[in-house]
Amino acid sequence: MKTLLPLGELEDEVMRIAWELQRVTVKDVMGELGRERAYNTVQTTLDRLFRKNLLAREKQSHSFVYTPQISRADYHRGLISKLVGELLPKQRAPVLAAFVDMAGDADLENLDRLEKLIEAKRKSKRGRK
Amino acid sequence: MQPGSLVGFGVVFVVLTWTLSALSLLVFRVARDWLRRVGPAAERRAVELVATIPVLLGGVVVAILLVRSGLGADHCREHHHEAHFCLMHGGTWSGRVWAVTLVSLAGVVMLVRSAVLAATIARRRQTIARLRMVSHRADGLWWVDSTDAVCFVAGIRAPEIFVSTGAWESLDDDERAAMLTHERAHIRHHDIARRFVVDMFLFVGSPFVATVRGLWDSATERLCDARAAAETGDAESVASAMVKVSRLGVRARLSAASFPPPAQAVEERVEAVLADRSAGDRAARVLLAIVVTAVVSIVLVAGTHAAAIHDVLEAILG
Repeated sequence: MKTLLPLGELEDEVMRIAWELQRVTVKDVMGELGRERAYNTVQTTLDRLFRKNLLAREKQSHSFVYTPQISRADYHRGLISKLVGELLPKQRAPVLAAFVDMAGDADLENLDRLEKLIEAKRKSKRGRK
Repeated sequence: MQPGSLVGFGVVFVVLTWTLSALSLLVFRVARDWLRRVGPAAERRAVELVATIPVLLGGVVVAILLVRSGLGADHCREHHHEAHFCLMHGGTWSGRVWAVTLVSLAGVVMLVRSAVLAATIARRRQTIARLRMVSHRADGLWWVDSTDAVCFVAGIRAPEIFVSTGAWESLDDDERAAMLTHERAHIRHHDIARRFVVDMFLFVGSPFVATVRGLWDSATERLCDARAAAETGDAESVASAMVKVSRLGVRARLSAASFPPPAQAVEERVEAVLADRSAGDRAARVLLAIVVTAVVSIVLVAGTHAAAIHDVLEAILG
C-alpha cells in the first residue's frame, strides 16, 4: 500500500531524479543532485523512499538499484486525493468553509428532487418575463 | 488575599455563563422560525449573541464582585462562617468540594477544548499548505487537479479559495460564477476568523459548543448563498451549483461506502435560496442594537446595584 505522504525537500529531489532516469543508484543520484550530499544521506533518503513504497530496489553486485514504483502523475493524483480526503470530511473544523458539506448531507434521490425544483423555478421565472 | 476566594468567583462565572447559555439557546430556539423568515444574517447574528452574551455578562458580574471586594466594602463580619465573595475573607470556598469540582471541571474542559482547537488548526493548516504545494494558482484561485468535489475557502488571516478541476468542469458558467461569489462572500465578511472568535467564546462559557457552532455554520452558509444570489441575480444557479457539487461528492462517497447519507443541509439551503428572501442584514443590525442596549442597561443596573447582586448571589451560591 502506498503511503503517499508529502515528500521532504531532498526526497522530492531524489524522486524527481528517479522519475527522470527510471533506474538509479546512490552514485547516480549524487551525480544528479545540484549540490554536495553525503553518500549516507542519499542512501538513507533512497531507503526511506523504498520504505514508503515509492521506490522498488534490487541488489546488483554490491549496491541497490532503485526504480519508481509509482508514476509522477499517479503520485500527484494520489497525494491530492489524500489531502482532500483529510480536509473535506472535517470541513466544519476551523480554518475552512466548504461550498457544500461533503460530510454527508445529500442522497441522489433528494438531489434529483432539488434539481426538478430548480428547473420549475427557472420555468416560472421565464414565464413571468 | 486568600487564594481560595477565587473559587467563589469561578463558581459565579461558571454558573452564570452556563445558565445564560442555556437560556439564550432556549430563546433562540423559540425565535428560530421567525429569524429564518427575517433572513440568515439576523439568524447568524442571533447565534453569535447566544455565544458571546453569556460570557460577557458573566465576566461583567464577576468584575463587579471583584471591584466591590477590592474596594474594601467589608461586610464579612455579618457573614460569620458562610463562604462569600470577598478576596480577603472568601477563602472558605476552597473547602467546598462541589465548588472546587465545578470550577476545576470547567477549567479542564476549557483547556482541553482550546488544546484540541489549536491542534486541529495546526493540522489543517499543514494539510492546506501541502495541498497548496500540489495545486497551481491562477486567477486568484488555487486549482486542485482532482475529480473530487472540492470548493472551499481556507485560512483565518488570509483566506484563499481552492477549487478542483472536477467541481469546475461539472458546472456551467453561471454556476461557476455563483459558486465563486459564494466563496468570496465568506472572504469579504471574514467568516473563518469570525467563527474562530465564536469558538473562543463558546469554549470559555458554553456547554453547548457543537450545537451553537452547527447553528452558526448553517446560518452562515445560507447567508453566503443569499449574498451570492443577490450579487449574481441568479438564485437558481447558486442552487444548481450546490446540487451539482453535492452530486459529485455523493458519487465519490457512494463508491467508497454504500449507504445513503441523510438529506438535510443541501435541501435546506437550496430551498432557502430559491425562496428569494433577503439576507436580513438590516434586521441583524437592529437585533445587535437592541441586544447591546439591553446588555449595557443590565450592566449599568448591575453596577449601581452591586451590593444587592452580591447579596443575592451569596444567598443562592454561598
